[in-house]
Amino acid sequence: MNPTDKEQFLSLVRENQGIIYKICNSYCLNKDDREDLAQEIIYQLWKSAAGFNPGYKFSTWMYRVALNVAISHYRKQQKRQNISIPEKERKDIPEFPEEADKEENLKQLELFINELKELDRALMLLYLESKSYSEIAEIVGISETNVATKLSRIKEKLRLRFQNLQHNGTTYR
Amino acid sequence: MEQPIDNLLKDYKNQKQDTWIMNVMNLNMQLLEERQTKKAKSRLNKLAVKKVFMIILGIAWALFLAALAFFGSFVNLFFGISMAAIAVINIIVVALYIQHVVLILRINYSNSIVETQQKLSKLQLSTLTMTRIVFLQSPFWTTFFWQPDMAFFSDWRFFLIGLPIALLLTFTSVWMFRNVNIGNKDKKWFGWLFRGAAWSPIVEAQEFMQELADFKNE
Repeated sequence: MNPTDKEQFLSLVRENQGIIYKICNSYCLNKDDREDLAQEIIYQLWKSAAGFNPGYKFSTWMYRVALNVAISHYRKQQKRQNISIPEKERKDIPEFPEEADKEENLKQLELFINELKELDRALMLLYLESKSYSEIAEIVGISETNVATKLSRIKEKLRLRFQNLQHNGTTYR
Repeated sequence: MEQPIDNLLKDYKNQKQDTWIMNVMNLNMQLLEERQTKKAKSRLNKLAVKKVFMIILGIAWALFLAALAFFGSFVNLFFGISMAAIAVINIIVVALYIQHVVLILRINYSNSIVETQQKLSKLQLSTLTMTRIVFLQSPFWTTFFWQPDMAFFSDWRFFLIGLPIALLLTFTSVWMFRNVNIGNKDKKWFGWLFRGAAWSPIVEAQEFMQELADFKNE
């Protein structure tokens, strides 16, 4: 595996395009921004490829670079204003879980994840990719225990938000 | 039994991708490089160029002040001491600029998220640190013309104007140096001093630094 070779690099990136896709979706609201961020991520990956340590998994390294670029891009673009759910989208969201439509719940979950702070969102993305705690710790730069504690808090936060939806019916908050 | 949120997270993970990612993936590498190189010439690189320019200017200014201090001290001790103090503060600022250029060059997106984001925020915060240090030189700009003779110090203008201004600036600069920090970001005076578009990214960077530290240590 030699990511400094253009063809090999592109093929590795294509194999792992899901990483870029999920990160861009999570840190950008509109399609144009997402494409811009995806291009920026690929470019930074290419620039950093020379420093790729073959001892690492390509995907771990890719997550580090992509999340760093996405968080910096997000902070620049959004100036740390919390993304709020438009009122229109907040209405008509079915109750969770039994009678809820799965697609709607997934949309709602995506909105809740996108409302998390940048670093918590990164943790959640890695968790959703079934990364081990040790790999998450390595990518983010915190201890494994810290990863476990934070993930459990985030999941609890998400669960409570759905519970609020259920209790308040279609009116959010 | 699994909780519903876990099931939902599993479904979320297995969602299909939209087509927009294919547009990006279909770009050829050369086109992508050309587009991004144009962009990259701005941002960090621009920042590094600006800082290198400031370093050259700062060194020239500090050398000029040092020469003034050296030759001026033969004529007037106050002038010599004041210029020397200003030169030392400027040398500290230049040293900080050099440190920042090194920091810019060492930013590596392959490092962990916490480490990289801390370095980037530290860079943004450098403007605030510079302001604190640069302001320390202000009292010396009010003392360089003092004369080492009794007539000057017994003059009413020294007691009513010169000395109070020097004391006021000394107090203010030391106070600012000690108090301009994240702990005071919610104080009224802080908001008043550092309001506006130019300062908001710096205040935000301070908050993010704090967030990163909490995130790491919790």
